Amino acid sequence: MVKRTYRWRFNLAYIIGGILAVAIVLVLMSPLSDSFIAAGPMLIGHETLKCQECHQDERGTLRQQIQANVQYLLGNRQNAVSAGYRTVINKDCIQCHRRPNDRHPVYRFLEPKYSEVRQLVGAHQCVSCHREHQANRVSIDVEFCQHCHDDIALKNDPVDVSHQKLAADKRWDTCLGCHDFHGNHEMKIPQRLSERIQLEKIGEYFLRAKPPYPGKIIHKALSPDYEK
Amino acid sequence: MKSKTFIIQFLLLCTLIVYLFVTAPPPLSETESTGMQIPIERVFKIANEENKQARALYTKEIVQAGKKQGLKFDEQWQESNIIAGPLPAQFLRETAMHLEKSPVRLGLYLGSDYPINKVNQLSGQQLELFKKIKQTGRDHFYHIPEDKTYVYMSPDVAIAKACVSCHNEHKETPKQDWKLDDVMGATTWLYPEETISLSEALHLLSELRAGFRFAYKYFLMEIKQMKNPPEIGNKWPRDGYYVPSIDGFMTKLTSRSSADTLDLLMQSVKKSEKGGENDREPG
Repeated sequence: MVKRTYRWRFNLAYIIGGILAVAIVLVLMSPLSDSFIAAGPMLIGHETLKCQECHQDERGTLRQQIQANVQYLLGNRQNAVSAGYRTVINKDCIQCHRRPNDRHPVYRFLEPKYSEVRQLVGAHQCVSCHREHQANRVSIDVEFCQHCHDDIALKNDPVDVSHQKLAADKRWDTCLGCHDFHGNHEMKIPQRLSERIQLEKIGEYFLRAKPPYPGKIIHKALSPDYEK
Repeated sequence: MKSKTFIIQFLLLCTLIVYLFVTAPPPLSETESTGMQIPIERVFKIANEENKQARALYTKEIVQAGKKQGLKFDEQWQESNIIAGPLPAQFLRETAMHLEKSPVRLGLYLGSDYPINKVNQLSGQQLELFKKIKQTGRDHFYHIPEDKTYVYMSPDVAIAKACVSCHNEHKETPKQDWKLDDVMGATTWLYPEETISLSEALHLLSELRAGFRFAYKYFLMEIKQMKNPPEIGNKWPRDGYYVPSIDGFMTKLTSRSSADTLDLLMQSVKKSEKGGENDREPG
C-alpha cells in the first residue's frame, strides 16, 4: 500500500511536471511573453516592440555557429559569431531612428580620427548611450561632450559666456542645457548661459521624464519622411 | 565508479567532436561575401568617381545655377523656419546617412585642414595623408589594422565658384583665400574588408546611388515648401526657374557616370580573374 502510494505520487509529480513544462513552453512561445523574457525594462517608447524587431537570427545553424566559435578560440578563424541571435547593431536602431541632419549621427564616429573616443565612450554605437533593457532613456554621464569638444572656440561666439571659457572651466554640465545632442527638437538656442535648461531637468530627461527642450520633436521615429 | 564516469565523459566528448566537426555542415565563411572577390580599393575608386559626379552635378547645376534663379541654400536648411536646400557638403552627409542605414558597410566622410565646422577637422594620420594628397592631387588607400578598417582618401577640389565664395565669405571660416581648383578637403571612404564580392560591390554601388536619390529628395522637400516654388519636372535651373525631378536628376547623373563605372567594374573583374593585384599589400 505504501509502495503504491509512493508510486502514485511519483507519477503525479511526473504528470504535473509535464503539464508545467508544456505550459511554460506555450507561455514562452506566446507573443505576450516578450516582457517575461526581456533582460530588463524597455527604453521609453520601445515598450510595444517585439523581441524579433531587434534580435534577429545569426546566419548559419547553431551547430555552424558553435563550430565557428570553437575555430575562433583555436585561432583558426579571424572573427567569432554570435550563437542564436546576432548582435544588435546601429543599423537595427537606424531603421526607425534615421533622420536628416542628425547633429551627431553615430556613423561619423567610425572615422579614424575618433579612435580614442570610440574606446572612451563608444560614441560609434547607439547602445553605448541608449542601453536597452535598462529603462533609462540615456545611460551615459552628461559630461561626455568633453571627449570631442575640449578645444572648442567660436570665431563669432553668440553666448555671454564663451564656449572657449566654458570648455576651459570644464563646465561640461552646461552643454546639453542649450544643445539637444541629436538636434531633434525645435528650439531657439539661448544666448545667455543663465537661460539654459538646468542640469537637474536634463538628468530627469535622461531617466524617463518628458523632454525639457521647449519645441516639438522634429522627426518622430518611423515618421513618413524616413523612407519613401 | 571513477572509470565509469570517465568513460561517460569520454563518450560525450567524442559525441560532441563528431557532432561539431565530423558530421558538421560546411563551416561558416568569415564574411557573408561569396563569389568572385574584388579588392575594395577598386570599388572605393568606382564609388569615389560616382560621388564626384553627383557632387559636381548638384554643386554646378543645382546650387550654382539655382542661386542665379533665386533658390536658397543654407547650412541651417533643416531648421523649420528656414526654407533652403542643403549645401553640397550636406548633400554628401545625407548620402552618407543613407549608407549608414543601408545593409552595406560603406562609410563616407568629409574632412579638411581648414573646415568651417570643426567636426570636419582632419587630424592624426588622416591629416598627414591629406598633406600628401594636397601636394600630389592623388587618391590614397591604406589599412588601419587596429580598427579593422580599409581607408580611401580622395581630394575634394573647388570645382565651382560657389564653393570658393561660400567658404571665403562664411563668418566662421578659418581661411578666406580659397581659389578655384584648390584642394579644399578630402573625401574619406571606409570599409571593413580588404576584398568584396562582385555582387556585394554592385549592391554597394546601388545603395550609393540610392543615397544620392535620398539627398536630392530632401532638397525637393525643402523646395516644395517655398511660397513660390520652382516647377519640378524635366527642366533645370540653367533653363529658368525650374528644378529637375528626382528621376530627372538621377537620369542625368547615371548618364554621366554609368559608362565609367561599368568600365572600371569590368577592368576589376578582368584583373581579379588574372589575380593581378591580389598579392599587393595595401599602401
